[in-house]
Amino acid sequence: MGPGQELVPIRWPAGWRDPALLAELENSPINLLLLPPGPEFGPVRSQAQRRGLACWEITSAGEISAPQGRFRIVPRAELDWNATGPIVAARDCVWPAIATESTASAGPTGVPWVDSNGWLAQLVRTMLPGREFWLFFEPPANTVLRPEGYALAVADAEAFGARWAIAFDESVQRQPQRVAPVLQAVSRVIRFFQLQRHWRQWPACAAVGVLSDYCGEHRHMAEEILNLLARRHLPYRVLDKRQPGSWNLGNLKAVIYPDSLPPDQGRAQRLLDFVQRGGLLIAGPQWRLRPGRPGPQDVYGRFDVLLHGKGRLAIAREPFSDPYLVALDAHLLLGRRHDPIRLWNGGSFNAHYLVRPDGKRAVVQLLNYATRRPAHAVTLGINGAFRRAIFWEPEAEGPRTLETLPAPHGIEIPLPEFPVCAAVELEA
Amino acid sequence: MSSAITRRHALAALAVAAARLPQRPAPAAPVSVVRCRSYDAELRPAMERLFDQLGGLSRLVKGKVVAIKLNLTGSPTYRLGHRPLGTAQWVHQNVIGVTVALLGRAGAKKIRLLESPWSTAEPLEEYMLAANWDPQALATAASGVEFENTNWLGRRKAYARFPVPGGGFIYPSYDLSPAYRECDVFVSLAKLKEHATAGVTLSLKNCFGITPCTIYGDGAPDDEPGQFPRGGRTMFHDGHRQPPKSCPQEIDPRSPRDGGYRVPRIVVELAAARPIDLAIIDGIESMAGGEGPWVRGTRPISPGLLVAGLNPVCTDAVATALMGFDPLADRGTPPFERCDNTMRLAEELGIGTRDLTRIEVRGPSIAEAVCRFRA
Repeated sequence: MGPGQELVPIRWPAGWRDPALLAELENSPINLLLLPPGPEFGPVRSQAQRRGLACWEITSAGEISAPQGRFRIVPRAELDWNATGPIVAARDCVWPAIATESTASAGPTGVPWVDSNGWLAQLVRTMLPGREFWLFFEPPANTVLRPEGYALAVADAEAFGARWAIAFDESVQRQPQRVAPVLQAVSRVIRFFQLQRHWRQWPACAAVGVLSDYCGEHRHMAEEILNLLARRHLPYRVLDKRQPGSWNLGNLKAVIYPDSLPPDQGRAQRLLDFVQRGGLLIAGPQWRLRPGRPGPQDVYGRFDVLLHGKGRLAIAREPFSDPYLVALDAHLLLGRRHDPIRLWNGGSFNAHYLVRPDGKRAVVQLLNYATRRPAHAVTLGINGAFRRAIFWEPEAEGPRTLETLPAPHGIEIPLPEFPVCAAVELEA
Repeated sequence: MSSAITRRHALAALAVAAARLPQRPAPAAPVSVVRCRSYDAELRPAMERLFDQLGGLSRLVKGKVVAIKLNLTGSPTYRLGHRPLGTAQWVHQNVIGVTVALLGRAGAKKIRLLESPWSTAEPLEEYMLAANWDPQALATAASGVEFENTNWLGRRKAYARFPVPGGGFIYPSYDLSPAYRECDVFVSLAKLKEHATAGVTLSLKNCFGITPCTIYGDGAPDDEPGQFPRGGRTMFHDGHRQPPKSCPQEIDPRSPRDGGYRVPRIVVELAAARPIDLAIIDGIESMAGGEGPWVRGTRPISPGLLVAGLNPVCTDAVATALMGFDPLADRGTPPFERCDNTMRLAEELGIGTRDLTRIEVRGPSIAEAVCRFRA
């Protein structure tokens, strides 16, 4: 492994003691083995190091022992926003997929529930900027997974700037002949995102920001709002309440403040300034500063709406208790006119919209959690003026130009079918 | 409880229908047909001709409050392939816009755009935005344009009760948004489509969606209407439950639970309870094989037609014929393979005739304009 090369880890199966199995990793971008503890893995370690692979150990205490020190793999709900070290590792993350318990799978409005770690990756990138974020989760038990399922697990992390520590299911561990197609699929996706690494530096294009300390009693509500905004295909920006200097309110139309404790005077005033300039602030009843005059009521009558400057404050009458309703209300209060992107027939999709700071290029990363070509053709809508759309996918030899159609709100782009992930790069 | 249509129920239904048979034949009214290949510049002159062939809109709407029930079925994020909803399962935005503009020019005092979109209370404008429509263009197409989601009460105080003249087949009356009462002229603005349950969905079937899901949705409470709509109108299809107790209950809960029996009757009841004054059918671009892309085997079709009439049964009969079907056909014959013919039931209630020999078609003849949906 060369200096500065990014780490692509795999969790070496505990049952794999034969160094010959290392041959499976040839021609893959994987360059780091996370080995179980024990001397029985000595031959694997030696052989791996001869092949130029790094070897770290996952201790029985759930720590990763690396040359630069030890770091814990913590439950995702306990991620420490004051953590130090270059790598942040979380366990208990979800296996990205369409949730099997979903009952809304078909019909005129049925939209399946999608399990994704995308919101978590965005949260960590804001709360712990500059760190590598590794996700630890296992393939579902008692399920024979297709290679596309693994490819999605990788893509769901990579698209949002994180990395999955690859782990095989029991079936693959028992049948090494199944490893090759899985690694081929996984490698294609990793290389795809490595090739487009510059996209990671572009900020998220969002209409709404979610401002919280993401700590203690605030954590669950704030995190779930992120998750549920994503399910509405409403791009958001994570705002760290602790660091007002990092708040990027530019281009935001609304800010949700879900914390039950009101912000201090300075932070509150900063938000009121945002409202004054035309923004919408959505907060719970604990919000104290209430300037302005009464405005039109919201659809469901759950908020007191105040007009202040060019903007609005929407103060909930009851404390926030259901993040689904908060996301729904935020979307209605804001109005779909401001939706940065739209998807038709994209119920099994997640989208991550990034715009280069100069605004001249953008990319919409698309993930298909059905991991098969969709039953209905998917159309992407972009609320912006772009003249050219280029389609990238791991399976293709190169990019291709897509047709863009004028629409009342920006452009529409009929998407080609793709099984797992793709990206539409846009040129102004 | 059997869901089959028993001989006893069939005979009873026949007896009910016979008792309701009008003394005189059901009324006939002219139906206007125009060709129009696109929703672009040719649309407005085509729609002007469509209404001119009926004698113009002024005499119908001048100084009046007009309510228009739109056909915006299913989710705004569900498309037939890449096709925008207005070129498949929804009435096209430009057809709505031109209709509004022409109603305004004809002197309508107020124009309310109404729909009860599936399982949501969100404003109709938001529903349209999700489809990538521009509701502002509709709002400014004439003066006095309003939007209302009639799936719930919204800011209104109470539902209005609409009795079914003659007592009804399934329900004796319906509780609906007062928006359907507070209008002088009621327009059904529909799409030219087949329907998986009812055979065709035209101006009559479009009004299935005037019913609020706070009452007729699967998640409606047992006793009172819900505050917000929950679920679809499956109770209309299979009768698996009754509306909330404070609302009109089924006449005979032992009647068939078959959607092909119930839905046509409910549609006719609604058309009788809230008469349609003007039926407009957008058949420029549409879909064949069902009412939405969720129906297996649906495909795009471009009939290039607009149809309108002052009698919804006559209008639907002509539209059915323009789709290549026989409006006199009944259960077992396309497109009514598994359902009763809504137009027959409406005719039996005296709403209008489906007999093409009694209907004057103004514009190209049916033979000239027919677009066979099952060719």
